[in-house]
Amino acid sequence: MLSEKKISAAQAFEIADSMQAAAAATLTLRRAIKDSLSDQQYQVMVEKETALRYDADRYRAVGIKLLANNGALTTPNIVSAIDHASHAINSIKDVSRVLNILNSLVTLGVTITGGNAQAILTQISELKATVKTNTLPE
Amino acid sequence: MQLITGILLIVSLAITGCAELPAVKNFSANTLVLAGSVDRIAEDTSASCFRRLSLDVPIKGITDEKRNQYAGVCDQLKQSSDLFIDLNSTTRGYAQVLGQLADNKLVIFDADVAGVKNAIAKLESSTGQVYFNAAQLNAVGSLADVVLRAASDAYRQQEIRRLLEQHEDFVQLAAVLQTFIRRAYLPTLANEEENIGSLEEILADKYTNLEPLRARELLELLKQQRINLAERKKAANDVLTGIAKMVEVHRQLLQSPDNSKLLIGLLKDYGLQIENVRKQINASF
Repeated sequence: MLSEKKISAAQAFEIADSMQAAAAATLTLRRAIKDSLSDQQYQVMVEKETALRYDADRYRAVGIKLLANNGALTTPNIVSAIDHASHAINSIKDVSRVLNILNSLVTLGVTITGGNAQAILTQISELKATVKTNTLPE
Repeated sequence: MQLITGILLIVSLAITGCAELPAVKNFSANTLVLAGSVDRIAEDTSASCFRRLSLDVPIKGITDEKRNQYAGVCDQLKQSSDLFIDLNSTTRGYAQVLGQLADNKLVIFDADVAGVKNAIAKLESSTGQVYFNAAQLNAVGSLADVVLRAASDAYRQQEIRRLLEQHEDFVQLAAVLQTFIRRAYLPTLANEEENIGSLEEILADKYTNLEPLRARELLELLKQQRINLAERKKAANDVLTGIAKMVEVHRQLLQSPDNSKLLIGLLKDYGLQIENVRKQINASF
């Protein structure tokens, strides 16, 4: 088999098509001369046709691999744009996180004004939990 | 209060100008379905090879050695198709982030703002006097929500634009998907179909007289396989049309981001095609 590096995806697909066409030709020939074939000759033709069909698969596998690799190489900007957009989405979600923390901070301020030491400690603990929840990555 | 109302009005007007978000969301939802369909097709490429092998073994009398060798080839197809599915995850990722940015749920801060408003309402002086009355609190809450929404709307509009500007790459990606279907998947199905013809002949030539019941059973199975293949081919062709329409809508979203008549028409057409694809994929696989 040819080295994958030396052929393009299009060439691999062309080779696969040729293998498949050869398999079809073998089938046509078998059909045309089957009455004159011995059982052994018939079986040899079946095996040849079958082998050609799997050879076509083999070259298609090479073509697909090259196509996927080339596709990844030719679309780097899209991948980078997706990363950028994901970052933007997280930034918007940060607004919600900041509001949650602000909420806890204001509540703590209210509690401090009230002067209840136990309530203040509880509120500080809640603030810590809110900060933790709203700063951990999703 | 008049100042607040004025600001609210201006910001609200600015928001209602962002009319393309539903179009982007619609495009995203349909493209996600399309990307899923391409995955199904990619998975079926190696499955076609294995289906062929499962019929070749009993009908052609393939040896164990050859069967293992051919199964290895089908495995190669699977590995390559998996690589292609990885590439197609870019299509899905692209549609997902577009959809998230266009989804208004991303910028609904009502609950968060309400929490802050309630906390502020509890603020009172040492003499027990409240600092803000109900009307003021409501105004502050509404303003905060609208300002936050407007700021993030502009931000996400900018990000959507940045994504849509990758049009040339997107076209390239779409071309790769189409090449896969045209040059790999459809010919693989043709290989399977031609092989069914070969198997039918072998059954007629060699088995009909020796094992008529078994031969009839296998012929019936092959007939069903032909019907399934026709459905799969139709699904693949529907996906090809869907990809072409996806590119058209993407181009229009970039060129005419407002809800132009052309864009609305293209979106509708794309949606109908994706509905066909969805039905055909469900019927075929």
